[in-house]
Amino acid sequence: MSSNNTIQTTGTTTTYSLKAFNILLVEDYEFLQQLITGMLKTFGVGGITVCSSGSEAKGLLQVLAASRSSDVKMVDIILTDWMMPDGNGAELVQWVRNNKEDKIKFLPVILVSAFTDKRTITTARDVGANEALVKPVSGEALASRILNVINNPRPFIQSPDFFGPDRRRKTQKFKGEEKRTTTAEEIKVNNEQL
Amino acid sequence: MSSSSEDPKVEVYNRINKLKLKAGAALNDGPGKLDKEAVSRADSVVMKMSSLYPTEIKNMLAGLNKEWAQLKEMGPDSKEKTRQVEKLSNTANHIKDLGTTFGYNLMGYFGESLRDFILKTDLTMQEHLTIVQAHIDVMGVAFRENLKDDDGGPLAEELKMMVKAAIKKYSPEIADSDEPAVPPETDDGAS
Repeated sequence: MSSNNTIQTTGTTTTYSLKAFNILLVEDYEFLQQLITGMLKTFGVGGITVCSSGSEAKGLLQVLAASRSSDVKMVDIILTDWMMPDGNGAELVQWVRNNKEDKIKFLPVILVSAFTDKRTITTARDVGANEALVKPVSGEALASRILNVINNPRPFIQSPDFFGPDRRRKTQKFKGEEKRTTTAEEIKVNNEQL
Repeated sequence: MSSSSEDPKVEVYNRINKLKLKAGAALNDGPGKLDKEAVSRADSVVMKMSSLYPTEIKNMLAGLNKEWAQLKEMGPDSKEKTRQVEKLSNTANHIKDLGTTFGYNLMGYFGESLRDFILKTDLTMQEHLTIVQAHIDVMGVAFRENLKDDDGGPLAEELKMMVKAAIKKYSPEIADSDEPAVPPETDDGAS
């Protein structure tokens, strides 16, 4: 069902330029703000906006989404910490995914967490995060998550209890009994046109 | 957007990959990459900032001590107390981040242990107060002795055992409730 918009790719491998990107970093700890910002700069990210809390990030995103000025650059990727004093990163992702504005609700989100337990990773996926990055953050791990967002964007799924990037990363053959209750007729596919 | 169903239960949104275009590639190009040198330069940022670790960790430990002292002075039912516990857990989490980022894994270990323990404790119990204090004390020792790795010799092992033993003795239900951790890097990008 998600293959309707599939584009045949060539073998060309581009070295990306992130100069035109605007990344929003949401991190309450100033030292880590500096560290991650420094890393993003070495990748050549042109715009880095830092917020110290989820509420600050929400306010900023609303202002950016509402702006009609061509001078105002919307955020391209959100990189958010998990544990913050005014609510965790999962709450921010939920707010993003439940937003009415397309400019906000479809934003790719990378959750950065010092928690490595399975529950945290599953929660990150189920609230609609695109990627999870476990601290301590290395250059390679950060790069791989950003690349994954650019190279492998998944279709967004709207179901009665979920909105976010398709939680299935792979299509696997299944030989067991068909248990899905949703028929093909009940699935609406929206292909964005250029 | 084009559609294919009138009364959908599930909607699928296939969006144009604008980030790929923004990054300078064509939509039909294969997967792109980042400049390898840029990625290794990112790690050099960590190296450079590691010189700031001693001052930063010293400040964080001082902050932790202060928050702990304030917490102990609060009344048993104060709402402020809950906020203070969260604050302390957050500071412990920062200590964990600092330690693990710069290879001070023992400090990271104690930061993580305190971060998780403090949220599960009953601070009206003297035993639990003792465990929190034990965490703070061993972090102080790890800093003063500049113990870097969690396999950093007998002293590091002794400190870890002290904290583990204190948790097991005074709070066995918490010692047994740890969930199995997953490896930091999973093959599917961790989400």
